Amino acid sequence: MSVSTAAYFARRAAQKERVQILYRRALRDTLNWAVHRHLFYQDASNLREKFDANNHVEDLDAIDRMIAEGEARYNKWRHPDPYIVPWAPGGSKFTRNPTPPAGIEILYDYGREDND
Amino acid sequence: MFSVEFLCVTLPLIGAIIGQAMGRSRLLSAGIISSCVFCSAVLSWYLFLTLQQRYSVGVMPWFQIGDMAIAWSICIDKLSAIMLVVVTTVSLMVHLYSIGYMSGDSGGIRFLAYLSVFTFFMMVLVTSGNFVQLFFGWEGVGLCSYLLIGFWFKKDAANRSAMKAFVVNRVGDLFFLCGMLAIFYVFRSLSFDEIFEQISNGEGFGTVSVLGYQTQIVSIACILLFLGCMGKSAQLGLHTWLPDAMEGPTPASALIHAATMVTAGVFLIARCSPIFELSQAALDVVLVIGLATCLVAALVAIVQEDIKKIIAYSTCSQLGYMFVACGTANYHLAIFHLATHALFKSLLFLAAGNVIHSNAGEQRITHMSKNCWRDIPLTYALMWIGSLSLMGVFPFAGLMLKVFHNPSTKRISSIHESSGIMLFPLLVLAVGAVVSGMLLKSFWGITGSEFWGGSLKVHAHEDIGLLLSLLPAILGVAGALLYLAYHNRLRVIAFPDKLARLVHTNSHDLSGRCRPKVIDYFLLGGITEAVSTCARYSVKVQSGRAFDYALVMLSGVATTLLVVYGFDTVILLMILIPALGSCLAAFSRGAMSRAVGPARGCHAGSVLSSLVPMFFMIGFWGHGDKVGAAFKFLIYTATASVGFLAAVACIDAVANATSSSFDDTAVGLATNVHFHWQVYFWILCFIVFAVKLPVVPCHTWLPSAHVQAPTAGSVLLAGLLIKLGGYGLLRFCIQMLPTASAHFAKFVICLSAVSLIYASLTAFAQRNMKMLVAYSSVAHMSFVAAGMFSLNEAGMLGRTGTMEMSECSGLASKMPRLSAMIVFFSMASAGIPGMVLSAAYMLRLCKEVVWGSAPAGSGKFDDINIGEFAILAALAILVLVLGVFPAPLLTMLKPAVEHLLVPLHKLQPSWG
Repeated sequence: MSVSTAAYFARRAAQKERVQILYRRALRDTLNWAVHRHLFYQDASNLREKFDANNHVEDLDAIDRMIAEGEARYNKWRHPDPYIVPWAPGGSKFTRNPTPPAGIEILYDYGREDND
Repeated sequence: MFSVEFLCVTLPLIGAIIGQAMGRSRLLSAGIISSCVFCSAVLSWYLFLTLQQRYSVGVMPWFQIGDMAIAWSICIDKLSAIMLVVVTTVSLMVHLYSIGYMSGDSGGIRFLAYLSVFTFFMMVLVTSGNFVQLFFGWEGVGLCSYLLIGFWFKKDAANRSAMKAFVVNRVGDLFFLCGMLAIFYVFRSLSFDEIFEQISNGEGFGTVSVLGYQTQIVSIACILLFLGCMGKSAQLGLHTWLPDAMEGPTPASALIHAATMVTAGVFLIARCSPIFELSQAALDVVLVIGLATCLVAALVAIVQEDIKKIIAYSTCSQLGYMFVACGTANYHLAIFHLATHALFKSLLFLAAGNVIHSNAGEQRITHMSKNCWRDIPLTYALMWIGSLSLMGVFPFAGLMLKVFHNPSTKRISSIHESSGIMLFPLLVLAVGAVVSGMLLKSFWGITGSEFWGGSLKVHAHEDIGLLLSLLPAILGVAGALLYLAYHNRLRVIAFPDKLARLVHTNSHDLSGRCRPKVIDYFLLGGITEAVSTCARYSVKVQSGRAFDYALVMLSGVATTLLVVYGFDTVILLMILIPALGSCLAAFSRGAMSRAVGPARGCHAGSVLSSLVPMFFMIGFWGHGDKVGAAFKFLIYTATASVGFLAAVACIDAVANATSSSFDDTAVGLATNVHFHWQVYFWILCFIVFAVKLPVVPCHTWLPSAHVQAPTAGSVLLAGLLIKLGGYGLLRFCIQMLPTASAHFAKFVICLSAVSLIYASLTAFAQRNMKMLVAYSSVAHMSFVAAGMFSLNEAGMLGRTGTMEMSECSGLASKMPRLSAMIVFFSMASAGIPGMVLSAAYMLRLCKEVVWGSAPAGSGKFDDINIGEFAILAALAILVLVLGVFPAPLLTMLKPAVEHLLVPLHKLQPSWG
């Protein structure tokens, strides 16, 4: 494989990765805007169509331009207050003062009990 | 002293202390705290129902400065009585509710204690008879708000929100303080009774020229007071802390951010209504800001998805209504709305707490369980009552109702109604929400002037007619129809097709949702885009470098000095060098050969002798680059000391004083030495003590000495050594050279201001704890608590072995005693009223060190032992006593200070 061919494939691989990341993020963000499933399915389908519409593009520079444009649009329309599950990091219940269940305690110096 | 009024106010505080002390027995503690609040509520109702006329109960003197004597007192009139009833009743309900709501939380008792302390401060605020006591309560409720928002201290978002709330409130407090000073300037008093009496005698109409316009001073004072109210009552511009404050537990939101603290601004304006009546301009400002807040906050509430934030923005909006009432001089109606709003808004918050509780902590209304109203019917009904009261539907005092009719597919199986202790307060508040309006209006006649008995200004009103009465209802229905039309439901009826197509378009964005074209894109989107563009460019000015900010500040000060002094400032800078040269010349001529008088010699000796042990202390027992720091310390301070000796020798040589005392030397200098030479001596002394203090730009030795010194050295540095500079400044510059001191007063004030702001900003940027304290010492030189604060920092270094704040976060869960002390002294250090910056960096220290989750693998720290705790507790008590009862100390200092200021008074300086 010549150097130019390897460079071509490396660039395509990088573009593929960027497109996948963009799609995943956009899809996840769509769920913030359209909470209910019947709306979300439609929006997700529209999003997929937009990506699929450019599936045939082969020009590397054109792909780069389109990805950059897509990322800019994503950043512009990203939900300002995305939904976070209450108990996940950043959620409303995360790191409150949970009382550990009875019988569970922090054991310091684990494994050195025999030395005492 | 132990009257009904005194007990009514202090019982919550007593309950909090006892309850917290008995923290091991959860039920007993909760019982004690709630019982004390219950007793306080009963006494409040007793005071309200039996009140005949306004009276005041003296508690004890507070302090006296000049002619102004301030005393702790409890002032009871209709206004304070109705506020007492509202505060204690809602507080009692919230206490009861919290017992159930926080039952699963390990810090439940601490939470109840915070609530009780808040109740105490709120009662101090509403019963104060003067501005100073009111400000004490004002700051106290701010402190409790900080503690309650950051109650879940392991949660980063809660810590950030707490800090934001405190700092934004501090911005308002700064204006409030300025307003208070302006009031004092006009009326020479801060007592409400005295001020109102002067107003009734036709005083208080002095004017001042502002930008060429003659403006009433009282207008400026009222606007400043209102700016203070804007911070506390979350009005547009200073409202940003309130939605973030929803990070705190829901009962705290119900008590503080709905019913009581946020209404303190409205109370203040009502209390000061006779003063506001003097200024139509101030009332107009109140009206405009209130109106804007009403509209904007309500609009923002519509698009919120967090149930608590919806209610928070609705609170903002309702507070706007109260300010509108104040702005139209209907103070009694503002208080009427305040009382009813407290009931139905706390009901809404507590009901929201129930909903969140039953939905496993979910706060997003879009993600709550499907049609959960079937499972919690009582809460549903109570929420209806609160919402209808909020909307003003007769006979009640429906934004959140979609929570219950949520079409979400999610279904939480364990959803259930809350326990009895959580439902009972809601029922009481619901009854209050339904009947309080009618009761207050029809039974007590709150809308008439007889009810208020002169406690606030009540204007007679004419009947406004049926049409105007119905106008809000008509506009409300019209608004609802427009809303539906906008959402395409009634398009055929409301819009012709063409217009509808213009308003609605099918352009889809990435999220795949339809975006209305005209209103959203051009109006809302356009404004947002414009603001965003402005922000993008203006942010470049904010480089984040303290030097850049210092440069801007210095430029401002230089310009101000040039405007005030003209080219004298330049001359001042030019004489610095020859002054230094002439003093050194005098030194080289052998003036030192004369014996230096004992009084001045003692001070010179102490200054010099204090350097040597500190030099060795840093050099031997320090750490890091200890030798470099020790020599830097020695070079700076020893150079200053040599300059000081030169100054002393010169002064002694030329003064020809009859004795070596400070007074005689001052007389000798005044009679025998030309003013120009006095100026030179003053400059030399000032440079010397500016290094000692230290003042920017002579400060660079202190941070490195602080960081490298052992802990004991740091304490001595912060607590004692740098205070010598302040003492020297008093003794030499002010006492011996009063004329020159008066001449340079404004220059020193400006330089101090620059030093203060620069050091505060630099302190805020530090990562090292000792560095932060060192810069705070630079900023706080006049504040003795800086030295005390170093003491608890000492305990920290010995136990954690690190000074990096990021490495010792989350101490609250590992070293509770020390953490409590750090927070206490941080608050004392940030306590200089109006100092926004000091609050910011001290709270940052607390956030980084005390609050938050401990990093993994940080190991186990031993908390301070009982002996160390006792020492810190003694210091804490001393700080408290000095704050609450400083009269003995002030009395002791008064003769010495008066003696010091006699020559200055004779000169009638510009700073007097």
